[in-house]
Amino acid sequence: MTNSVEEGSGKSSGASSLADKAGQYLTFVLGEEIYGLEILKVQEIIGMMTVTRVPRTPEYVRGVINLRGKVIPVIDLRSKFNMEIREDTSRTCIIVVQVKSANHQVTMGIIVDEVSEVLGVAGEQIEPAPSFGADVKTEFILGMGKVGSKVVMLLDVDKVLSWGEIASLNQIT
Amino acid sequence: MEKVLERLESLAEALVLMETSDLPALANLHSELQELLTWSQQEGLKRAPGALTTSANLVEGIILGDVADPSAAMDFVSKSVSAVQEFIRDGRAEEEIDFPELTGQASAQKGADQSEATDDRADQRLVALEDAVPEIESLLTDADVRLVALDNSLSDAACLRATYRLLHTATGTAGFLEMRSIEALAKACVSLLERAIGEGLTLTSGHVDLMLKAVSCMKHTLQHTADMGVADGEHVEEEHASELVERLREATEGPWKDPGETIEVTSSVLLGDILVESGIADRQAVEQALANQRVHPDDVETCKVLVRAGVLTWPQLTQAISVQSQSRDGRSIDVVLIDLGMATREAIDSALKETQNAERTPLGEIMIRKGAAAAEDVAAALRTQRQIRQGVVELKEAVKVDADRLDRLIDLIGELVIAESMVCQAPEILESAAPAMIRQINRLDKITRELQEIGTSLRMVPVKSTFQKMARLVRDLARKADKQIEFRMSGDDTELDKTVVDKIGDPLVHIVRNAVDHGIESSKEERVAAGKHAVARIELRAYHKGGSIHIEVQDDGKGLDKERILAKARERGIVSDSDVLSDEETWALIFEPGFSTATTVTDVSGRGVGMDVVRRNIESLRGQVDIQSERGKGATFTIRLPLTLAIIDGMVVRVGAERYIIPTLSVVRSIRPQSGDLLTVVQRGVMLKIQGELIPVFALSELFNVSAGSKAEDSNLIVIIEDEGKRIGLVVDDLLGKQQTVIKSLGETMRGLPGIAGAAIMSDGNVGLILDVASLIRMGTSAVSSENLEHDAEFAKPN
Repeated sequence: MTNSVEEGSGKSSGASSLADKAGQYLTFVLGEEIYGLEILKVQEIIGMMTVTRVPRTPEYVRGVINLRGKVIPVIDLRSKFNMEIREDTSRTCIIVVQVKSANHQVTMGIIVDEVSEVLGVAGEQIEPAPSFGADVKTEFILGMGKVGSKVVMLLDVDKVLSWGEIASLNQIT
Repeated sequence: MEKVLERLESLAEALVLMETSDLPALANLHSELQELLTWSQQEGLKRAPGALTTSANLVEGIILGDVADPSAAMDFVSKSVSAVQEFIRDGRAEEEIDFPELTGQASAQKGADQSEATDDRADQRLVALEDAVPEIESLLTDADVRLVALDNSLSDAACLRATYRLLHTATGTAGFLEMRSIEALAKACVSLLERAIGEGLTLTSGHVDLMLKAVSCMKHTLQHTADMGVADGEHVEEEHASELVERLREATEGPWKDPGETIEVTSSVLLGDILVESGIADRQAVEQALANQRVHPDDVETCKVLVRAGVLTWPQLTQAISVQSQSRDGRSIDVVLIDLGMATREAIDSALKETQNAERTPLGEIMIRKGAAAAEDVAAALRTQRQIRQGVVELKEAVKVDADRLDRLIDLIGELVIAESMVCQAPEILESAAPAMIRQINRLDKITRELQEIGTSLRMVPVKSTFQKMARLVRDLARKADKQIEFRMSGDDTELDKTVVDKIGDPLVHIVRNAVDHGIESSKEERVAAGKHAVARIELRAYHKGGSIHIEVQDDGKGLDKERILAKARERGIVSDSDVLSDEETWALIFEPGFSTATTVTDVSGRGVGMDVVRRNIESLRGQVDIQSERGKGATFTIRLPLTLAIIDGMVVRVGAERYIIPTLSVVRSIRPQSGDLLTVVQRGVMLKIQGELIPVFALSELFNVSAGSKAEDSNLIVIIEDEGKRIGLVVDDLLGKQQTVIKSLGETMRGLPGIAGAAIMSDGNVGLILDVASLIRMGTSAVSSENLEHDAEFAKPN
């Protein structure tokens, strides 16, 4: 756990050695791409359920769900990555993750097209995240894992779901 | 005064170092004393001149060599000086200061007549003291016993009067002997009792405790007086005594509720055990007292009992008595009877036991009389015993539970309730269920409800502790502001959610401060001129009403000053000059940030921070605060709070496909407007005309950008909501009924969303959003239209 927390503490991806990022990743599919989440951040995977829309939140916030009595926000990762919006399918599910925000843990869900498997990624299989200039934000990518024929984008979930954005929105309204 | 004090200080210093052979210094001292004497006569002091004259005479005597014991004389002089010092420095009444008494040794042999007279008086007093000390002592012991009995039945008139008589006599005796501090203490107790007898002041255990403390202080003083003589003995306990007198005076004059002390004890019911367990008395002393408690079978009365009980015959008894008196070996009659074989120990004991219950002296009294325990301790032990007997102190085992775990438990109970109702309502089950199944379902239902009740009560605590803090606050503030205020409270056993109780303290402090500082008139005269009682009153109440808790702070002061508030508000630009405000709207102004009508800023209030915080805090607890005020009659602040933070009474409405919950507390009514009730203003806003009032109407679908919801202009269902006297209408598509829902926060990530107060788990297990009425009204009535907000949102979107 300590390792992964260190990871998410805001170092630029070049600064920390890629070998540190080796470990178990939960992979999921979004459109044509495969992404990986550090397994230690994942709390559980649940099927799609009724999501209550919350007015005046950014588009990628799908709403909130009731997770056994706890209300947690749910993010639509497609929308967050500016992909085209698709209808949910029977394979769509919510990955519940523990995100470090400022100084405490926040539980939230991310909606993905399909969860595939847990993959062990070794240090030598990880390459630094590519940079595509200012148009494409890649700071939430820890690195690219090459496992067999697959290329998995390893996500820094703390950065993907940085809540500063939502908070700042609220202040403006 | 200052100058005199300075000279006294240097004089006192000089006295310490002075040699009785140092004539120049003595002459100097003499002239100083003469000056001081002149000053004290000019000031019209009563007792100082006497002491100073004697002092001056003594110094003269030392100079002339007429004094037998110069050092004793010097002692007298320095005591006189320090007494005068005390008088000036501490500003105490002369009566309370002990001027030294002239003893034979210190007096001049060829001295002034008056000093001899003093001497004689002192001697007489010494003689009187020897007789008086035991007398007063027994009076005080009786008073102790009476007070302990009084504690058991606080309004027993006979007991009150008996206590009063005892202390009254003690006052007189002590006064005669010039034992000032005893006299003052006894007097203070007497006036308190007088009020209890005459004016119907209801005594509390706290009062009794205080009097017991006073009596024990008197006893100590008496002890010292007997040991050391009046002059010194009184000094030992002086400070303690004057503090007690002060407290007694407070208790007599003002309201004062201080619960008597009880002792923490495990489980005993017998007084003896309680005394031992709490370390008040040791087992041996209790045993001894218990032995005394048995009616001693050596008195003839007891023997009669034995005869009546059929244990003995008369002849046997007379024989036994004669044997006892002849043998003179100190055997008590029961021993003699046993030795003579006339009765067995068991027979005697059982015969005595029956009569004992009717006529034995209470153990507590014996302990007090024997001095085995202090009266106040016995009283406290008895109180504990009574509580145990009444079952008030049920020895509950408390387990400290982590708050998060508790919350989680409550969450899960809420979930269970939902899951259970979904199962029980499921059509598949209801249609096909066998009677046995239905029975089981009903049972499950019942258990779930009970579990829910326990779950909600887990977090409830009484507001007592908060209220008691307020009582202290009022007392302190009143003293600071030099106002006389009587504080009353009721309903302090009302229970509230723990978080609410924790958070309600701050707002209450502000409101109470406000009442003391701005509400209550600054002088008694002002009140009397207004035809009110000189002593102001502040009352704190808590009670249940319609599913919420009300906490009221009421004062009978000036009331709020409408003109001043309006003037201030105009000055600050909060309202424009043309605005006409209703009373309620005016009062609400004081909750605006930075608003204060206090002309002077005190450390109490008037900095203009506070009332806005009050409103914020109360709103964060989903409560509301209202003010009623009448010029010259006083003001009442009413805080309405939800019973528990975990559950909300809500009206569920549908907008398009979304459901929202409006807290019932804020709903005025819902109506279906007729055509003509709705007016458009400037082609944009919509107003609803209702009972001569115009209310702005907003569509929730527009405020929240819900597609497919009704628009404001073609609304057919409007819910009118209110906050702080402002009302708006919300256009909704449908009312889905009322529901009690378990409240959840939306968490850190969604904090401060406009119009949303939180989330609730609906009966189908999904999340419903709870509307924040105050913020909706602000949203609707502020200049920012929803389109603007929309624009901002676009603008702020990252990517």
